[in-house]
Amino acid sequence: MRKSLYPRLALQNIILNRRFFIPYLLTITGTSGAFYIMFALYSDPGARELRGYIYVESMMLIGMLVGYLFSAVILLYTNSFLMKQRKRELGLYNVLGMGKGNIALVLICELLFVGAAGILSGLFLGVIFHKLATLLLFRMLRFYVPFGWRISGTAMVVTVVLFSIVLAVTLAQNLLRIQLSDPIQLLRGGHEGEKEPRTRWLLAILGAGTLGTGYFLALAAKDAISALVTYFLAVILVIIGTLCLFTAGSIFILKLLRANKRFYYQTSHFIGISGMLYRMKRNAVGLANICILSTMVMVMLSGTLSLYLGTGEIVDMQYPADINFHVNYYPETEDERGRFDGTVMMQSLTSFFREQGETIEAASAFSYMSIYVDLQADSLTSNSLRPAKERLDRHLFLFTAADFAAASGTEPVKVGPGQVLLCGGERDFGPMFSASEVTFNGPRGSRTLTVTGGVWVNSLPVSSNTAGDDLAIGMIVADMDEVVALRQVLFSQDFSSSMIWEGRFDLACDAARLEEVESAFWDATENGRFQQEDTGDWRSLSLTLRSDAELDIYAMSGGFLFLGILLGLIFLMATVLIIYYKQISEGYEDRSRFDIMRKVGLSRKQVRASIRSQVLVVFFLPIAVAAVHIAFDFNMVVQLLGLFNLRDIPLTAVCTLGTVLVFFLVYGAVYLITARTYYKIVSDGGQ
Amino acid sequence: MSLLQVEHLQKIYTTRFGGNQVQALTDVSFTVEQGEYVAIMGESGSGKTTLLNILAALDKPTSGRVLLGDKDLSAVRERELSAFRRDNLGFVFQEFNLLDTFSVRDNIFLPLVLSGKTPREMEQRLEPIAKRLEIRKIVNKFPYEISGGQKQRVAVARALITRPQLLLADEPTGALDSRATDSLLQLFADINTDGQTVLMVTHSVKAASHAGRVLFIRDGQVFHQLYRGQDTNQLFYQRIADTLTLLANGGGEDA
Repeated sequence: MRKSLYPRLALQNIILNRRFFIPYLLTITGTSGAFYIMFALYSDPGARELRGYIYVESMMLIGMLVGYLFSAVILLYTNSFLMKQRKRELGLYNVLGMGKGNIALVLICELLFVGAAGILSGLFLGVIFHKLATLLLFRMLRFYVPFGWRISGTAMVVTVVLFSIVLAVTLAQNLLRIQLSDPIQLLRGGHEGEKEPRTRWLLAILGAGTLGTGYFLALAAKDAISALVTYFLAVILVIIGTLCLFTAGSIFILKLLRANKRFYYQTSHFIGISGMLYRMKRNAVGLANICILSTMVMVMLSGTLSLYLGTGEIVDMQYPADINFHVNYYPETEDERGRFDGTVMMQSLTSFFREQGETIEAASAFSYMSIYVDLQADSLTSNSLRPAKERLDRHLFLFTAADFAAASGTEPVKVGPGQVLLCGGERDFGPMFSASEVTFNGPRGSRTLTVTGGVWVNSLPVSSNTAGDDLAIGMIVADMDEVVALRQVLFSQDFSSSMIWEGRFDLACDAARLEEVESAFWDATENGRFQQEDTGDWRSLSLTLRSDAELDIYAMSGGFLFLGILLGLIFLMATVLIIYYKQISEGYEDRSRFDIMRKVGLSRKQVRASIRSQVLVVFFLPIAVAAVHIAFDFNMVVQLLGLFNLRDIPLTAVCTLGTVLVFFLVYGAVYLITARTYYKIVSDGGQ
Repeated sequence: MSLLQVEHLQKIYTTRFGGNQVQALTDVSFTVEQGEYVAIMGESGSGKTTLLNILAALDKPTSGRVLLGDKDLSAVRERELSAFRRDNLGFVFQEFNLLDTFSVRDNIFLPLVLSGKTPREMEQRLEPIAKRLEIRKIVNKFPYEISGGQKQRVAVARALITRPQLLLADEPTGALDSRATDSLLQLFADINTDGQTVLMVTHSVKAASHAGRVLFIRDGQVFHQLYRGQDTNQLFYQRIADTLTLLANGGGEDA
């Protein structure tokens, strides 16, 4: 054979099989383009110097890994689908006298064409959208830096190499496949009768069990740490459950529907149910995959979106003022300079800002201590007495009456010596809510205080940056001496845990000026101001500008959102691809069926109606189940967002609903397009 | 009045880009009486399939008309066509055309389901037919679990269950072995004796020899016809074979 024959044949095959090849090509384009963008962002030398970009770097690295592996999986999947559809064609070549070597050459040419076209257009789109992605990313990160448009050579090389490897693997798989098969088998390919599936009870029970356990774990997560621990287990259980239930459950339900004669013997149900039952064995896995991927897309997007939109809140909570001071100190100090005195610190800070020529708009200061305790009905036990794994029961914040008033900006509450007020959400205290006295147990004995009432607030007025702290409770005691007395019971020794003093200042100046004030402050500390000699003994002093914290936190949450969008798009692409391939392969299968039915007297209208009912179920079953998954997952997402100090359930709910809604719209559009293709293929048969 | 009247059918196919015209049927006229068993014979390309498609209302003639009872097929509106076909015509195909997705029972029920019959009525209709065609034991099986002869019986059952005026069969024995062929032909003869009008297209002499009348088609025209009269199958077979030999030799127009 002439050498030019192979490329020509390959090209012709691609054109003839364009219904299969175009999505394959688009997959290569999309995945390689996304990969290029992530790599280019990851290795951007200019951005690296920006504050917070380190988050983006590590997230892009994760994105590249996940994206690449996932791309490899979907490319292998699409390829195997493609080859299955072409079995007959290849068998025919073999029968017509082409050796397996010749067929291999044709396949190699095809792959070279498709691969080259796919990767090149992927790079092209990647380069173009890189600019857009950078703009979007920087906007999300609040980096107001004008950025040039650069083409990353490294990213190109890496993309080409990595995707060539995937394509080489698919080629090897194809070559192996034709080596293993004989022509008769190839010719017959894809037209073997399939037995009606049995209901597999074991699988159904396993599915119900794993799904139920997964759901239970999701609902049972009470705080961020336990959610983090069980999250992946729950995800895996739900995935297994989904696969089992789609495989076994769908057959069970369809058989149930078939048993209902009145329902079953209606034209559209009759054709739809029997058709679905017939191919459910293969269908179920595809549907389950669609369901799982859809869930992933929605979870990723809704989670990262609410994190991003909640960033302002997180910043406000952790850094309520323009300038936030934190001082760690030990009230039981034996230092000759005396116990740390917050009022003195406040005074010297205030005079410092005045010297700087700044107007103080608002200022507040207070101190508190925190400890993890195990809560009983009328007592609490310091967690150092219990094994480490059982810790993290309650996070107790202890205030004096004066500090609590300063922290919350309210009038001081009355607490006498030997008395205590409960403070926080009413339900957070459990049985202690109605206790008349509380015993504090610790390694150095116990101390009992009388409960004289409660101060009920939604959240404690501390800017806690302890992760996952949604089980915080507060208590208010008379004065610092009482605090020290309790500390001597609760901690195994003095100086094992410091108290925190917070000083907050809002200044009437802009962000640039704030930075100058900050450096002036550090210069002043170098020159001996704010030191222990004046303020009493403290161990560490730190200052955080809200604007800086905002940049850091936006870099993180913006990076997450960007990653969520990119991976979400890749997953969405995979979902659409599976749906599309499912529809057209089934279209070709159903073509002869509908042809026969038309001969027996099925009208075009009935064809359309029964296709609609069948496609509708196949389409909306997975996404309906995905929506249920999302509903159960919601609690987990809320808890996990607690890790980032976001505890805004309405915001998360709105983000989740919005994401689900948008996803449904996209999904619906895909449905309309593929249903049309399907109908076209099916009705072609009758011409 | 005749059950089926075919009057001057002409069918011209035009290739897709205009250009060539192919005349599949030149001028075909014949009638079929109520209760008759007619076989149509002809070589490949003689126009048999085109004729059958037009009779089945799957295709429209270029000119001429087909009357079933007193109804002109070309006057049936497009949207009523499927229902008309379902209620008046039964089909048996060479390739059985059973659906793997349905059990035997549901395959037979298919046209009734399309007509919106109740499950009870369908069962009532199935009972006598299944008995007559000896397929009662297999109604719960699936097509891929039964033999070719059984498949064709199921197809016949599906065709008869709508109580059609006319049973159209397209090479019904084409995919069967000789034993199954014999038994199917016997079945056709039996149901014809019961009063069912049958029109069969075939190029098997054996199949045609079971009919009451044989029409020969050549080059898109009815070229000749033979009546069985009092002949046995054996004798009729011989006459059909002779006629075919004559036809094949391009024999006299007046044979």
